[in-house]
Formats: sequence, structure tokens, C-alpha cells
Amino acid sequence: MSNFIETFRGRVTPQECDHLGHMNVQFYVAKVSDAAWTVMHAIGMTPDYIRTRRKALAAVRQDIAYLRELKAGDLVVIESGVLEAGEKKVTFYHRMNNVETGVLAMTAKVLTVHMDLDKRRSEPLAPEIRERAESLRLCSGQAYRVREEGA
Amino acid sequence: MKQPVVTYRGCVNAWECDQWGHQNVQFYLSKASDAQAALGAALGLPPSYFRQARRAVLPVADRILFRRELRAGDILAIRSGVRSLDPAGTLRFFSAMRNEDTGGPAAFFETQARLTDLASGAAIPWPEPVLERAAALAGPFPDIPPPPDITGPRAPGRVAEGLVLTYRGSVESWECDETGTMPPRFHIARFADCANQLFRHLGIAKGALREQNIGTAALDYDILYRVPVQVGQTVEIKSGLLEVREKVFRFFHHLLDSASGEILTSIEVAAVFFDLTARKSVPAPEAMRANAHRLLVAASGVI
Repeated sequence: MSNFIETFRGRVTPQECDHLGHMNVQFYVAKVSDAAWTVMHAIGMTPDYIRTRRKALAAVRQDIAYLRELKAGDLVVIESGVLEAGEKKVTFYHRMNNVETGVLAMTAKVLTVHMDLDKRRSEPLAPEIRERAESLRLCSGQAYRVREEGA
Repeated sequence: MKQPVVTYRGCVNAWECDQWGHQNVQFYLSKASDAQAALGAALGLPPSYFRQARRAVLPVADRILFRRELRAGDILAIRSGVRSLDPAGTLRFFSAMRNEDTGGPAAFFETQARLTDLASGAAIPWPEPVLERAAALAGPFPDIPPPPDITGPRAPGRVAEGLVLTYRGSVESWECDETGTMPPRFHIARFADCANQLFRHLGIAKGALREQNIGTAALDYDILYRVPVQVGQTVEIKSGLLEVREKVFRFFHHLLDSASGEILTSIEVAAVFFDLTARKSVPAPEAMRANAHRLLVAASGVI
């Protein structure tokens, strides 16, 4: 069974397209950023958790494979899962598909670090968050796909 | 029982929130427009269809009920369902926006749209496969009933003397979609903006509100998109007050073509003032009540 969950569903606007006639790279990242809040929610790091405990995951490294161009009006969906969860780190994997063609348009591997929002320092994950992150780990076949896609 | 389909999923970003600390109304609309496009694809009208056909699904009417504020960091989804499809004309559908963390409703959209030929501006019949798909997706959706009728005085369908000029400007290319048409978001951005001008005419100063820790929030929109608004068009907005209840007050705006005076879009708004700390509605300020009669009189002449 797939551990991927749907984390973003939206559309490419003309304002996101550059003079090459396709969605500019910055908006692939923007959509991954939007998707991140839903995958964080899935491991227990909910909006309420972030506001009250003042802790969240911050991206420190991102590897992206831009696989297909996207044009104004295209509908896209992002599915996400966890590749790895450590003491302070969670690595997420996101894949973006063109809804109409079904073609894979982007994959991104994002390394995040658990951060205290007041101290502005990294610190260990709460055990229950780490446990839930482990439970969302993509299985080995899915992880293999990550390497194949070059992300 | 038929279930609505997920047509949007995302989040509220900090830069989509306004001075009142919640997602600005224009972003409810932009997300609903994304949902409309996704529903179009589910009905067999994907992006490639519109690129080849020079057609668009344009909203003609939209009723929006705002149920809960959304704040930066909230995650949300929209689920849409078809109410009915008239083969020759109007698609009726709803979109329910939900806070995916709390499960609580954030907003409902009850929308009427038409397949429109962009060259002539005329509504055209829906392709046969769309009718079949719409029939398959349509349902009674008893959990998501259509919004109740609006009570109280309604906006006049024409522009009368005495309405307040609350906006004057033009439509920029970066506001428009691939076809050069201004989408709902930028109608609403203007309407939300010009409401402040209307408040000023009612003797309500933004600074005074801030000192009292009071903000404003929309409850109910009833929008008529009469004529598509195009890039480069010069436009203005004239506004009037419909009624002031204890807490809820209602007003309207007409977006006009500056050159011809034609009404392009009309909106009726029900709104409240609310305490920014308690996030609860409070009675409308005395100044609004005291000054209301001037603008109510102005509008009542044409109702």
C-alpha cells in the first residue's frame, strides 16, 4: 500500500509563467512549500501544534528534478511522503503530476530540521512526531523510484 | 450516496492574510477558481480543451457564505459537486472549503457558470460527453444544501444618483487569465478595497477602529458577473448601503465600465465588525448607524 498522501491540488496561473512560456522554477518550489504544511500535519505537526508549541520543521536542503514543463492553466497535484526520520531531521519526498496527462512533472526531496521558533535553534523531535513520521515512510519500492527519478 | 470531489488542496500563506489577521477574501475566490478548473477537468474539459477551443467556463453568479476565518498556516481543501447542468446554458455547482485540520467549514460557494465562446461572448451548448459526466457527478448532496435566500432589501439593478464613488482604476494584464479576462479574485480585491472608502463615507475611520481593536469580516457575498471584464478596461465602482442591523450590515457595489457606464459586476455584501482579540462579532459602530440614513436614502430611491 502506498504511503503517499495528497498534499496539494491546484493550477498554474499565467502570472507564474516566465518569458520561456512555462511555469518558472520558483513556483515549483512554492507549490512544494504549500504541500509541506499538509504533510507536516500528517505527522502530527498541525497548525495548532506549531502555534502553541512554537516548533516546526524548516527546510535546509532541497533536491529537485524538473521533469516536465507546465503551462498556464495546467492542473497539478502533489503527493508526499517521508523518506527518513531522525532525531532532529525529517526528509520528505514530493512528486508533482500534471492532472490532465498524468505525467510526472517534478520530484523533490526536502531535508527539514526541527526548530524551536523562539530560540531559533534546532532541537530533537517529540517522540510521537518521530513515530508518526516513521509510519508515513515510503516503502523500499517507492524509495527506489526516488533514485530512478534522479531526485 | 455521491460524494463531492476534491478540487483544491493547499494552505493559507502569511502573505495571503490581511490587516485583520485572516486570509483575505480575494484568496478564498482564487482558490475557488482553481477548484472550478479542476471540476471542469472532471467534467471532461481539461486545460488542453480551452487552449484549442478559445472557450472558457465563466461564472455568471456566485453566492458565497463565509463560515470561519482562516489563518496563516492553516491547511484547507475544497470539495465540489454538480447540482445541475442545463445542456444549453448554466452549470450549477457548489464548492465547500474546509479547514483540513479542524474539519470545520470555512466557506461555501454556490456557483452558476456558462461555457462561453470568447470571440462572441455568447454562451454555447455543453459538449455531449460533458452532459454525461455531469449526470454521473450530479447528486442531491443533502449534507451541503444550497444557501438560504437573502432577506432584506436588495441592490438595485442600475446605477442611481447618490451612490458613492469608491474606486476608479483600470484592469492590468497581471490580474488577468490566459484569455485576458479578469478572474473573480481581482473583482473581490477591488470590492474589499473600496469597502473602506464606503466606511469612510459612513464616518468610520480605520485608525479609530484599530484603536478599539475592531476589524471587519464578510459573512455573505452575492455576486452577479454580468459582462466579462477585460485587460486594459477602465473601471469604477459605485457603492451604496442596504441596511444596518444590530450587528450585521449590508451594502452593495456595482463595478462599471468608466466609458459606457455599463454595469459589469454587482455584489451584495453582508458583513460584521468583530473584536480582534475575542474574534467575536460586535455591534456596528454608532457612527455607522448615525450616518447610515444618508446612504440608505440614496440607495432606496431606486430599490
